[in-house]
Amino acid sequence: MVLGALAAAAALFVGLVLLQPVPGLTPEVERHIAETGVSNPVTAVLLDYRAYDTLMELLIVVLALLAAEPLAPRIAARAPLAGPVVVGGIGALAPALAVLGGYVLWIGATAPGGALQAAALWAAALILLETVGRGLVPRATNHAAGLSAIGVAVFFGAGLGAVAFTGMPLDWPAKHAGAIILGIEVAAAAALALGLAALFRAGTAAP
Amino acid sequence: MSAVAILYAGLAAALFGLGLISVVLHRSPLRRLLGINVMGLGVFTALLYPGPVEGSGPDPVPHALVITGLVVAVAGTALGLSLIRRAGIGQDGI
Repeated sequence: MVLGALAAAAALFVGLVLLQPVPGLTPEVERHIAETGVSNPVTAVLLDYRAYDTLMELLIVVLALLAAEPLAPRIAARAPLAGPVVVGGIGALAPALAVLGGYVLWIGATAPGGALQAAALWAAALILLETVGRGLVPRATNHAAGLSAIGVAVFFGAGLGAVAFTGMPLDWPAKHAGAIILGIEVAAAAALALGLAALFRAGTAAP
Repeated sequence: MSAVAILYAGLAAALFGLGLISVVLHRSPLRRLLGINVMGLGVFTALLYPGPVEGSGPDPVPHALVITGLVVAVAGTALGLSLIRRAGIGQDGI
């Protein structure tokens, strides 16, 4: 079986090395980037060209949370970390992570960054706060999933509303695309951060 | 064939292979789940493989695909961990 695994890895390596040069999708992305309202091509792909991928991804996180919460152990939560260094350190680190996440989200329009990176930082802040017993994730079953679903609903509603202006769902009117994308990114990042932190809590504590 | 392309291909193959070995060798569900995660990282690295694309900079479409995939992988892993814990397997000797 190990030989089979090694053969699969070797096949992956040879397959990648033997790939022939292709133009890729970079020229296509660059051609219409002015209509997306952002200049970072990755953000343009995530929130404009293939926005429905990102929408489905948010939905997957909410569904995973809905599935994981009933599985949470019925035993009491582990005692939170105590001690002045860890509590004080996390108390100082969590707000700094929140600000850094906001910056990463804002800069995502023009440079590497964006909603998903911001969500990772915000989720880290929420998880750190959980470990010292100062968590902000709602305790009641399905409340966190419900709040996450609001973020998904904002994204979905905006995508549906776009039909009135451009005739296509998730196709933002070029004039306001930048502002629409920023608003959706805030909602998506908040929903994602809460969903990921709640997934962490579902594995550690009683609901 | 640039050195960077060979590095990416080698890294992708190594991560995929190591993960797959862990999946087929171990019976502990936790180790298998971690193995699937490492395999996923190999697939993501393969998607970011810069070799065949002409021009400078990474192709933004697979790049965005990988960012999306990472979040889905985290959510799937969390659900898998919850299932493993609920099933009560691997309580000792994980």
